[in-house]
Amino acid sequence: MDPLTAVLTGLALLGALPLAVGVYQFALVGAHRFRNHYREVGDALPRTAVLIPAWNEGAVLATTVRHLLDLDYPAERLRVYVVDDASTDGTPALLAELAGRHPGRVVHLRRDHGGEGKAATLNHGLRRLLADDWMEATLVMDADVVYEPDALRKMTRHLADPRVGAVTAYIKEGSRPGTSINRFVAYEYVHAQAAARRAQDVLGTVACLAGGAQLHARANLEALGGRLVTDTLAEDTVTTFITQMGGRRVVFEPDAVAWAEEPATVDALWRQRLRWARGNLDVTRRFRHVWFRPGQGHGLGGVSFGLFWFATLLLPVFMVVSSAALVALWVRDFEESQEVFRRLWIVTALAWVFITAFALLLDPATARRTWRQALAFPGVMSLAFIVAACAPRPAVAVRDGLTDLVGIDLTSGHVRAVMLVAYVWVAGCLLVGWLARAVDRRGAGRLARVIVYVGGFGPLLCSITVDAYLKEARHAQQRWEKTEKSGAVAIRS
Amino acid sequence: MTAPRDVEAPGGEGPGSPTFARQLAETRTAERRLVWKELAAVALVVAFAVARQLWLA
Repeated sequence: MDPLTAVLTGLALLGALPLAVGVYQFALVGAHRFRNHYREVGDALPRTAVLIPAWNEGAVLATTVRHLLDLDYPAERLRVYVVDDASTDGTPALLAELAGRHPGRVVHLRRDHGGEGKAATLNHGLRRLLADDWMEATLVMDADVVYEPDALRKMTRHLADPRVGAVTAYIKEGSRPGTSINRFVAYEYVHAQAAARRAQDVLGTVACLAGGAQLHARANLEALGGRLVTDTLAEDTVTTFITQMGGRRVVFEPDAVAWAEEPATVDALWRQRLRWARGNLDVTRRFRHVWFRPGQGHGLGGVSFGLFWFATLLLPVFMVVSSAALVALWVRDFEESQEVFRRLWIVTALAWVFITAFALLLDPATARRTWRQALAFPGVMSLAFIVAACAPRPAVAVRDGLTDLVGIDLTSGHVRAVMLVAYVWVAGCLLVGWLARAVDRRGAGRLARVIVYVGGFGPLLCSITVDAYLKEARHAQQRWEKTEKSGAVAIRS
Repeated sequence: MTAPRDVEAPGGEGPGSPTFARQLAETRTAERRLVWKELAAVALVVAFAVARQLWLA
């Protein structure tokens, strides 16, 4: 093999690197049985203030507050503070009613001039909470999140260890009845939370306290200066990083479950995830002196943690490089390109089987609801490549059957053309995400969801990451766009 | 099962209150199952790889 072909082969196979990192991440999940924080927990029931930022959340707040007041937690040690960020709907009236019905347990904090973003709203509440010494811990959450009755208690037990600064919970997608996009998100959260955060917990470093479930010890809030960073779209991730850089531990509690309503359409998902992706790019820049520098007294500079972070952030880059290398090989050495493509998809298939099987086993309740989305996560087209790579004879038989059916005499030119399309698809599937969004914005939501099945939910998320790259490169304005909530969330256990 | 650490926990019912002990035991049981689930997923991958080899043979 000549040097250029060898280089192109290596670049093409680089496309499997993020999946290999995914396998590594999932492999660490089992180790959570041995490396966890449960030896350090205690029966801690700190006086906890629940802090909810709310802007026009009248549709969801009543349910959320009712579930909070029903938590299995001593009533005299729990208060709910809702920071009403100058809402213009029925939120102020609803909060006044709730505060009147539960005096001392529900507190309405009103901002007359809002619109400065979630972090500024939370800071308004934090100032109030830190002004006296009642609060020993604060649970920062979103207005639509519904906690299972034992969730808070399972989180506070970690605060018995004074080294712990904050604890996060397992957020599950709970829209009822929900669309296929909701179910894709539900399955994705098994990856991103139940698996990824356990793996991070094994490393002793958590990437992000979920915005809907951040339990902070008072000492941590004080160490943060009593306020969250406001000049970012990722105040939750920035808070998580600063907490750990300050020497305080962040713990993921997988057994504490909170249910949230996530976007039901491609367009709503795109807007939410674009905000997250731009936030993550901001975090990458903001903490640029941290990555891949172990020995700083925290795990954020660890090699494994860096691999986890960048494998996700740079996934579209790997896809484009792999696709371009395959096309270059197609030009130089078609036979070799076919062999490399087959190897790439066999590795992908093995990784996909392991990750999908483990994810479904990890959360059987979610698996029952989302197994179709789990199978279709890479997209039907990519699944066809997996089948063709792993079972070439049946694939060739199907191909020959189809060509006979339509009366095409298959030539080597046809085969080359089909393979070129397949190579381009490795990166071209990113464009399908854009297509799905465009179709959704024109009111054809059902067709958009069909396109997501064909192109894949994973590639759709990568498309959004590419959009984030482009918007950051253009220094496009960052806006805090609220995700619309309907109040259709429910505990599904 | 390891006994919970005897700590001065703010507002706690004392080390080992029934609710705390039950919840911790349930969590540890769930965490123990992780290893078996991971092994099951690995076994599936091995079966998949073997099946593929046999099919191609």
